[in-house]
Amino acid sequence: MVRLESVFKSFGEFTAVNNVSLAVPAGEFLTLLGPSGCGKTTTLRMIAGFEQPSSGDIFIGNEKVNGVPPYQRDVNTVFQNYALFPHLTVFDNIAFGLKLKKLSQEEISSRVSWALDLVKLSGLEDRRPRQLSGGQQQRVALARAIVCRPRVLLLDEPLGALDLKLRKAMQIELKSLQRQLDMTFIYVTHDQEEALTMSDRIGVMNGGVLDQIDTAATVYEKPKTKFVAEFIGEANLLKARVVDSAAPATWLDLQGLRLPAPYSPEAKSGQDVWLLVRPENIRVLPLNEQDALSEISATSGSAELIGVLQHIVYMGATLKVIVALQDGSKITAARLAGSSVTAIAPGTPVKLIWPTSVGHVIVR
Amino acid sequence: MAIIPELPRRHKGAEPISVPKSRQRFGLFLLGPGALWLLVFGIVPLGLIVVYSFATRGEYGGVALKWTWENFARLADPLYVAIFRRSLLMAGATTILCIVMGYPIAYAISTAGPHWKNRLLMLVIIPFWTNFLIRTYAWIIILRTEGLINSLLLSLGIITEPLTLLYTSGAVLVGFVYNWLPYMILPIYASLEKIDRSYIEAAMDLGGKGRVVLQKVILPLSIPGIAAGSVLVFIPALAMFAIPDVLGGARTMMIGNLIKNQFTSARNWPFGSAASVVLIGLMLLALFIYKRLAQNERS
Repeated sequence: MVRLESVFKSFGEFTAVNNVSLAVPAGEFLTLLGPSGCGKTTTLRMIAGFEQPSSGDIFIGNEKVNGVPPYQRDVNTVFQNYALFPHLTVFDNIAFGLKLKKLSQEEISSRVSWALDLVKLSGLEDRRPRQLSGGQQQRVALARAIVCRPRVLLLDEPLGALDLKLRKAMQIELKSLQRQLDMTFIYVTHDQEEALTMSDRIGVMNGGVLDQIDTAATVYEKPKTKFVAEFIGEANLLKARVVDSAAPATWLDLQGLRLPAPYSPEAKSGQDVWLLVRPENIRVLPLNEQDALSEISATSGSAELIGVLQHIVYMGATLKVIVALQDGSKITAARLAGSSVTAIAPGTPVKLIWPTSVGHVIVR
Repeated sequence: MAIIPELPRRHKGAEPISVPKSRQRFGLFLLGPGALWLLVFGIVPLGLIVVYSFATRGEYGGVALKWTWENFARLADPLYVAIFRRSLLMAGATTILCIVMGYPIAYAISTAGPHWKNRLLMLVIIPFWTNFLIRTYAWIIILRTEGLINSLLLSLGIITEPLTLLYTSGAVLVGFVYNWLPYMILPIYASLEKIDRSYIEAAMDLGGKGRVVLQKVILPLSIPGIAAGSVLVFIPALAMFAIPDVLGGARTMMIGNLIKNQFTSARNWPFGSAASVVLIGLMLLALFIYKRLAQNERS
């Protein structure tokens, strides 16, 4: 539905978007995720037509839209600050696009009430935007954009101004709305949790570059770059050197220890790489528990490290266990509250164990 | 004046803020000089005008405190009604012409790049560096029979006889619009500048081309600027006497000239005061209308 081919955008010396190519199939919920200044909003604005790419092509449907003004593109935008017209009522705000399409009065009113019904704001037709709460304004902005039934809906951090609880509720509502309408959504956010909650696929951007575009699970479990690994979720990144890489395993040298990791075709012998292990995959055991040790040693598909338990942070449902390695670097493990790890006193040497299959080698 | 944005009203039922006595006294002290000034040079003269407007002209041009409605009754004379009508028309026409000419200029400045914006604003402000009377006299050089316009048109062969431009209502209107155009441009510019770019983008996103965006979004959102500019132009234009004196000659007497003449050459202070009271009433009416418009915009 939307396709970007080698799109660049520069503002003077600054390259905001650097060689971005992506394709969004019809009906997909794609999130562009990244920190502020990563080029995600600029990318969205180029699709909307507010900015023109410095080079590269943008397609909507099968039509190349380079140079096509926003008012001729079959896309609509939900703006970050909503941009509701303050001098118009809710009804007139939503009807704005429909009136410009020269639809009949009946058609306009029926579509406006359809849209208001969809965002659960029926009865507020005659209010002005300033008489609405932030959440209600957000819904009007959404209704105004979807009432035109665009081929693609662009959303620029639409929930950024709402409080946490309302934001969470709206995330779920937005996702179900997208399914119900079967509309292509391109959503921009810096909130990784929001991206994971709603998206079919996530495109992670960093410094104008699209680092990775994949499903939420792939982006989380098999990040392509160190940036993606750190930006989404909590990550333990261990500096290591590739000793030997041949399917089914890549062997790493980590501070003199030989550790196995799933095979990475990109890793070459002698290369410096990062080993990613997510906290929830790491078990923490007392060093002196011989039974447990022998049990784990018996399973060949695991990797282990020795460190000293520093402290345990209570997080509610989980515990954050912080362990210092010999070289001083720290590893975080997440265990469920009530885990036996609470029995270990800080300062005690411990063993960190994880199944080989959950490790992930990052080359860049 | 009502052009200044109102402070947020205190919430209903909110506790009044209690201020200690010493702070209250200090506040009064700060208020003192300004209040005294206003009292002596603002309120007292205004009160005198109101009192005089009901008095009678003394034998030698003084003010005799014999109370009468005569001065106001005399203003109903068709001669004076015509002067008031002419003044209202002139001020109204000036306001409308200033909107029509000022809006595009303000719009152009607000859409210019940051580099140009300041230079263009500077050009609008430059006339303020010279006294308006001097600038008004400059128009005589442009408009008179042997003036710039006539000699240009004659030398181009467009006319054979010089046109009578000076000492007409038209000359007064030109002088008025020239004098007050910046007062219209600046508030409109300020209100245009305040319009968030995202409103314009939203309108374009919903299918609005340039003209639609201007009509349906930019123009309605800049109405407060137009209203503020109209007050700044209409009210002083209603009372102006210097420009009609210089450019208009005797046939274009306006309220301001009438009042000035009563206080100076005619030596009829009570009648001049009555005309002033009516003029102030008209101005208050204009402000009242402005306030109602501004309130509608807000609710």
